[in-house]
Amino acid sequence: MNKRILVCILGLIFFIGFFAFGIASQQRLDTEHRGSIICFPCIGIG
Amino acid sequence: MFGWLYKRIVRYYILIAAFFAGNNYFHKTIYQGKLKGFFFPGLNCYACPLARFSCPIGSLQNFIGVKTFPFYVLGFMGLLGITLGRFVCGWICPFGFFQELLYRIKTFKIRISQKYSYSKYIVLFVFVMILPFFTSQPWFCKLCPAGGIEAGIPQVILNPYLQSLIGRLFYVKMAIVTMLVSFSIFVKRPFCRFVCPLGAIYGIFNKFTFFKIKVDEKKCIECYACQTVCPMDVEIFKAPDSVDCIRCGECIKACPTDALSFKYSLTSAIKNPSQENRR
Repeated sequence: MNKRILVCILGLIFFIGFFAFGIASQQRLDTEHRGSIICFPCIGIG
Repeated sequence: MFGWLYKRIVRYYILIAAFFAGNNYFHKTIYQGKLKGFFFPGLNCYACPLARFSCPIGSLQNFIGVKTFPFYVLGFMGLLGITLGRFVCGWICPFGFFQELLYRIKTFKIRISQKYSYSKYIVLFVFVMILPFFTSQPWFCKLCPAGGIEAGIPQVILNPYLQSLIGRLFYVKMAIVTMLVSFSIFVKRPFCRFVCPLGAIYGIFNKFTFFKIKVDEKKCIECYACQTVCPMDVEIFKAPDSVDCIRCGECIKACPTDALSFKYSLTSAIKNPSQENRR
C-alpha cells in the first residue's frame, strides 16, 4: 500500500479515537471553563 | 467538480457567513449554551460574550494549563486537518479574511520570504504549550490580535464596566492589533503566515490531507501567476502541499494554462512525479 495512503488512514483512525475519547471523558464541558468566569484574556483583562 | 469553488465571491460569502455563525453580536451576556462545547474551526475567542463556539487554541491552552491531555481538541483539529488541511484558514477564519481585505488597499507592497513562516511554530510551542503549562495562563489569548479585534475593541466600547477594568495588558494588546493591521496593508496575511498557531497545526496536515491542489507539470509554464495572486505568497507549482497553502483556489483561477486544480484523494498532489525532485 502507498505510504501516504497508509499515513492518512492511520491518522484518521487515530484522531477519530482521540475525538471519541475526549467526548467520552467529558472534555467537551471543559471548553466552557473560560466562559463561565469573569476573565477576558481575549479583551486584555484578567 | 469543484468549479464553483474557484470564484472569489463564493469564498467571501462563505467567510462572512462563518463570521456571523461563530459570533452573536446581539448577546449582552456571556453565552454559555451547549454550542460552547463545540469548537469553531478557526480562531474564535471562547471567553468572548460574542462567541457561540469555543476557540480550539483557547481550549488547547486551557487543557494544557490544567494539565489534562487535550484528546477532544486534538481529535477535532486532527480530523479537520486530515480531511481538509488548511482549508479552514482560507474559507472559514474571519481574521484571515480581515487581513485579506486590508491587503486589497491600493498602496506599495512588501514581500517577506516564505522561509520565515516557520516562526508560527515558535509561537505555537512558546505561547500555546510551554507558557500555559508552567503558568496555567492562556498566554496566546492574552496577546491574540484576533481576540483584540473581534472581542476587545467592541466589548470595551459597548460595556462601561469593562472600561474601568482595562490596564496595561489591554494597551499591549491594542499595540499588537495596531501593528498587525498596519502590516496587513503592506504584507500578505502576516498573522496567518508568521504567527497563527492554529494555522501551524493545520499546516502540518497539508502533506497528508485528502484535499489537495493538483499540479499538472506538463501544462505548467512556471509563470508565477499563482504566487502573485496567492494570499499566502506560496509558490504553489513547486510546493502544492506547502504548510502555508490555505486551499483558497485563487491560484487555480489565475493559472493561464489550467495546470492547477482541486483534488480530493489520497494519491500524490503532483501529476508528474518527476516534479517531486524539484522541491
